[in-house]
Amino acid sequence: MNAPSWGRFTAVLLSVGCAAPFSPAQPLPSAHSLPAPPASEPQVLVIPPPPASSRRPLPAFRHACRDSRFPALAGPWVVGCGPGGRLDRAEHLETGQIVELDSPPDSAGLSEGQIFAQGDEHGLWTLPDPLPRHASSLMDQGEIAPPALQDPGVASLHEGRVAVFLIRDSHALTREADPLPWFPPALAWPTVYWVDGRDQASDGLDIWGWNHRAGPPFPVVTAPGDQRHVASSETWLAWIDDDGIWLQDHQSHARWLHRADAGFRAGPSLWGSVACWEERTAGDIDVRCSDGLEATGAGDQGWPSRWGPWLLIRQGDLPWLVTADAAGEVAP
Amino acid sequence: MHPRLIGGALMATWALGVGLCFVRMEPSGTTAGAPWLAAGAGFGAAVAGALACTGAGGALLARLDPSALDDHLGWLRALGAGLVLWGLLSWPAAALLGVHPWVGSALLILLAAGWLLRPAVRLPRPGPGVLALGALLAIPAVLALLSPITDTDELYYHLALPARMLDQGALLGGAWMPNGSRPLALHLPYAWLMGLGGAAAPRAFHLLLAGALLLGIRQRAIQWWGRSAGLAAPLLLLGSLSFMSTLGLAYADIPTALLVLIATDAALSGRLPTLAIAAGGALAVKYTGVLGVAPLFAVLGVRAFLQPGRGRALGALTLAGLAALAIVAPWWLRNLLDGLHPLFPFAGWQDAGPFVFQFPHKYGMGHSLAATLLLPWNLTMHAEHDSMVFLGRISPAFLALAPAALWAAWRDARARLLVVVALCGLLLWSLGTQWLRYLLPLLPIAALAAAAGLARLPRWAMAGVAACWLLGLPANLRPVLATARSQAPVALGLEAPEVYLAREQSAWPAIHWINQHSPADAKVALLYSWQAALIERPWVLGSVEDHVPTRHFLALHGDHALQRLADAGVTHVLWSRVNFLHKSYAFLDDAAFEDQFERPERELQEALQRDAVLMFEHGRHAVYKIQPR
Repeated sequence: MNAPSWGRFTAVLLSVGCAAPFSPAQPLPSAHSLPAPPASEPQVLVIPPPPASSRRPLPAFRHACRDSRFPALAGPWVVGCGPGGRLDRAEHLETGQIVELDSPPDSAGLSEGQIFAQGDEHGLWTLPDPLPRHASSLMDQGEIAPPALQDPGVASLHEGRVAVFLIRDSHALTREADPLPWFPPALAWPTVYWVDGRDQASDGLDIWGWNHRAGPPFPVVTAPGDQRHVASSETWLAWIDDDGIWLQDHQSHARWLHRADAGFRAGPSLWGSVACWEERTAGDIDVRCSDGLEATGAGDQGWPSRWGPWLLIRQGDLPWLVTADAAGEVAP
Repeated sequence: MHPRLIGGALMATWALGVGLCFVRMEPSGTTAGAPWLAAGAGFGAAVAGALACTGAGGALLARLDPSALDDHLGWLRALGAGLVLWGLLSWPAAALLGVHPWVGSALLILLAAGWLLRPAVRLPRPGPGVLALGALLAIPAVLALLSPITDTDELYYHLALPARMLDQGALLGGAWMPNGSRPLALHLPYAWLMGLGGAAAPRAFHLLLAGALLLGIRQRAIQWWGRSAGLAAPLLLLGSLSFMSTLGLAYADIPTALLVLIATDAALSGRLPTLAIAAGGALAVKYTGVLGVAPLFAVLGVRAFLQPGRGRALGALTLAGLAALAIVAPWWLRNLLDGLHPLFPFAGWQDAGPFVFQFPHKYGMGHSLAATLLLPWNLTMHAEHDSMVFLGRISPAFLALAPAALWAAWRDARARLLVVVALCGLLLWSLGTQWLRYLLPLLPIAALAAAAGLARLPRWAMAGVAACWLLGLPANLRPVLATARSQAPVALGLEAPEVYLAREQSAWPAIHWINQHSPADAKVALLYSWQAALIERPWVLGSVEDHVPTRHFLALHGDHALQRLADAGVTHVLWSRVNFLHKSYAFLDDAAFEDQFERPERELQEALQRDAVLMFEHGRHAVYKIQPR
């Protein structure tokens, strides 16, 4: 902590009652004060042998993005950056159509064929339309992580609160929370999930959720250790902790665990029940998926983004596309 | 008590209360008054510090060198001597009692007790014109003083170290905290001031010292060469970016310059005890003081050698030199006791290979004979404040007055000594790191020499020099005014400090993450990053010069670097991508550049990916959590 001083003491005195607008006035309810989240004993995630696949580089997306999580897949589209590091281009993987985006943002939330970023000049891009449709309510309200997008809504994280809103609506619902910056939320409309730091001192980071139709925020995973990097797709939820990668069907609450050293950089990418993640073993970083598709070999592979048969990864600074000869959603 | 006195006291208290309530109950919810209250606390502590120094210095000089208090500059000598005494007492006080605000307060009371001995110090009384001009020129400095910390040197050293020592309650140093092993003759007083008046206090103290320097140089020039010289000498400094840019910040160059000026003045008037105190103090505040101190002793030595009765004169000078060294030697002793090279962190990194603290060839326009001969011209015409080409600017009037100063040196013994010391110092500077700020200790001497030359010019020629000074102003003041414009909203309370920091500091989001979201007991290692003063957690390493602490640590521990950090209790790393450019180190061959710069940075990045967890990233700054194996 910085030095105590009369000057700082005076400033603190003056700031009493002038708290930042989104700082919770009362301590947030701890996970320990709420009922334990439903959880079954985890089953071992069985990963089948790798399917036949091919891979090719994507030199059009060789430029580093300001947000290192990009390029990434938005359905069959690769969304990436030009020399300026902004998300200014997208390429359709089947047709090869290239779209140069107007008013490109530094970072964004992606869903199938859609890009969403807040800010006056941004909004919702529905590919292949290069123009954003101005949308939504919380323009420039200090997002601390890229938003999550799932039609018809958006979830965004702010200092001391979490927000959800309909893309076409001008009204946002917010709740006090302690979302950790940088980790994006996951959205399974109408429920938003995020990495929460309220109990960090006692048992590390947790995953919390909030269904705005069903009551206040609730703890989803509160085990000791750092649960982080939450992702959602359809009825599936994935996250990473110090044990490995977790997959949960949030209808049945059934859980699967694959023990691995993961979540050290990029989060999991989830396409239906198929999760892909970075894994490091003996100083080597590879990408593996729960359906067996993988990107391994010499050098480090990382930053997975999965949709359908496609797995976008980066090796060195160059993005590569790994394509499974046949891919379909599989039960874990 | 007289009823009128009671009424007046009540009225004053009431008025002050109304003012404070006005600020406290601001309906718009802004904290517009907070920076001003912080500045008030800072200035209060700084004025108390300056007055205490003057009292202590006056009492000291009254014993050692009574004639030093006799003339108009007695107050300046007392202030300088008190500052040196403050630094000298600070080490044993901090070592024995810790670095706590109460220790600083006790030390300040002890120094102020010097006034009880009634030293014959007459405080300066500048006229309204001088005060008005000073207030006008001090506006950018006051805005800087009121602003959050964004200056590189304050971030990694000048304010970071005092804050960290206060937080830890102890002296720090060694390879984990290399800046803590420098002589702390100024930075411990900065710590005491910070403990009393917040971050604004050391900045305000620095501003007071700069004001004292300007006033002192004016008084000295008037006394020796008349009013035109008295006007020119301070204006030469005020027309120089390298002087103006740090006025409202807590730096060490101007305090060093003040002590070098006092030493030079003492040498000219034959006051050896004052010379010894000021020269030693200058070295203890910043080693660049040697640029003025070494030529001064050399010139005095030659002069003593040439005069009759040389033995006695040389003996007295040697004694003064030894006394000066005795003032800086405790800091060398402290390093030796800590098992370090006495001059650490400027030397003593060799345990990890051929490490140098600084690459002088990075700076300036060359070290050849031709470059040295052209230095006065190049320094004036080609210096850039934002590149390694001298990293600063000075007024062209220095060069314009160089012939006149040489002429004055021919005719005037005082000017001669000033010119010789300035030229020798310049030569010494040209052999090392040609960073204009390092030349600041010499600048007041050069300004006095130039003022001596100006005083010998006819009025119409003076007008030419004034025109030259004015032509130099835009280039010298533009960066200062640009900074002031950027700082004005936050300094005036119209912009939140966090918004200002996000605008000015690319690392702020990562620092904010650490301050807000890392566990309260987190300990942070700064690898290739330096913004320590903003980090509200205990920190180690940080960057000096070419990221020496990080590069040394990596060279020393190699693949085990992160494990070594974890063993030392470090939980998080603030890492910044540097991407060293070979053209900045063109004097290194490919292999040396790869070995010293590119490979360590690459290997650290690989180690972080291999053994740490990325918790936050923004641009080229990232926070990693270290996983103990």
